[in-house]
Amino acid sequence: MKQRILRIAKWTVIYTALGLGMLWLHDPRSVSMDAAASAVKFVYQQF
Amino acid sequence: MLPFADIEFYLLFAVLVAAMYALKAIAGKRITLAQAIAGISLLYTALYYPKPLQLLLFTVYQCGLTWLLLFRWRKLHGLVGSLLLALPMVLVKLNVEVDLLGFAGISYITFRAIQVYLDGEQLRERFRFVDFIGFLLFTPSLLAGPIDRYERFKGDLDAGWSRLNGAALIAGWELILLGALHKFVLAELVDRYWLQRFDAASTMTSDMAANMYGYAVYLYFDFAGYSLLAIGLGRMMGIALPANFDRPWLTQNAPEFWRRWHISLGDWLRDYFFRPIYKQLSSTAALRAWPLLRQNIALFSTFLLMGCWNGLQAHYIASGALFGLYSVAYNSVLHRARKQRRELWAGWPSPVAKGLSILIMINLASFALYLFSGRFPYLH
Repeated sequence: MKQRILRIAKWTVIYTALGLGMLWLHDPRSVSMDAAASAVKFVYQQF
Repeated sequence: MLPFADIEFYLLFAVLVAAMYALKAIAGKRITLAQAIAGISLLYTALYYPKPLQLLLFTVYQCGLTWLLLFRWRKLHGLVGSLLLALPMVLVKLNVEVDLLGFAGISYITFRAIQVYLDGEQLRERFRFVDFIGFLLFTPSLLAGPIDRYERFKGDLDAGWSRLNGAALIAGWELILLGALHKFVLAELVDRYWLQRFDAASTMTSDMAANMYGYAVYLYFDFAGYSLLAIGLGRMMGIALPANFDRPWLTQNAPEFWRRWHISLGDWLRDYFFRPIYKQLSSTAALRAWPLLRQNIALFSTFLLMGCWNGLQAHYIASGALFGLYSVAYNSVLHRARKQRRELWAGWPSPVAKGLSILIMINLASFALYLFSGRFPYLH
């Protein structure tokens, strides 16, 4: 029971943080990676 | 479309995963999971990857050469074979202008091919082209890992369509959510409200410290987030890619750092670079009486190679060399302590020793990553 409650609490925090963070930091119509030196961009834009 | 960054990529991936489950339902008895993975990976590469022709030609080169090395040129020295497989990547790293070779993911494909070749004795009988193509081009890990191992990857393929089930979808979804939280929220917050507020060119100590710690935190969230996303997408397609990060900021020494940070690269370098070099050095008569020196040469070379692999710019090489120096210093101190039959932190209470080790390592690793970032104002 305790584990179940902890799991629900953990995922509530994750969903809330992700939802609010995405709405706050990104244009919801177009998720794009703004960070200047991201790892993917680093690999991708060398070529 | 930027992989892992644009919403289109995730929509496309949802379609690819749906196609896998549809194939399982409609043609699961005629098509194997291995064929489906290879087919979908090729399709993605051909239709959505930039410079698909280059990547496909390179894949043909790696497949043909690996087959020759495994089945025809068996007497060739492992180093020569590995260099042949790595040749296109080396040319790219040396900035040789060959348009055919300039595409993202060349390094990770090369690492996978070298692994198959060097583990050839165990893999030869189980080698199949369809598995190998799926292994080289597996869409979620094509760009920047994690670097899987052929035998582990093939184990998932051999388990067949049963790998695609509700539990895999849920596990993948949870990893994707965690990855998105790391990459799109936490890394973005650090970048926007920490890194971008400090001038990277500033030589003021406070600005440099802010840049150093900020970049370390940013890189962790960004790359660990990418890795979680890749592993989550892979899980949804039935492949359990290996973990790439394991609480790296709790590391107590430099070698341990690379067992917790970009784990699959650290493990690959240990198995296919450090160990062969150490073995070679051990057979060198002049070094036979110097085990510590042999270890330190192999350690330093490994980290220096890692720095050079990132690029031949001074900041990458310096970062790799610094990680090498950390490892050599730790290895030497540990060797001396063992020789004197005492603990490394003898006389210190265990929690204090552990806390201090972690604190020191956080600062050392952050500084090496600061050099890596190219933001260190005295090194360009």
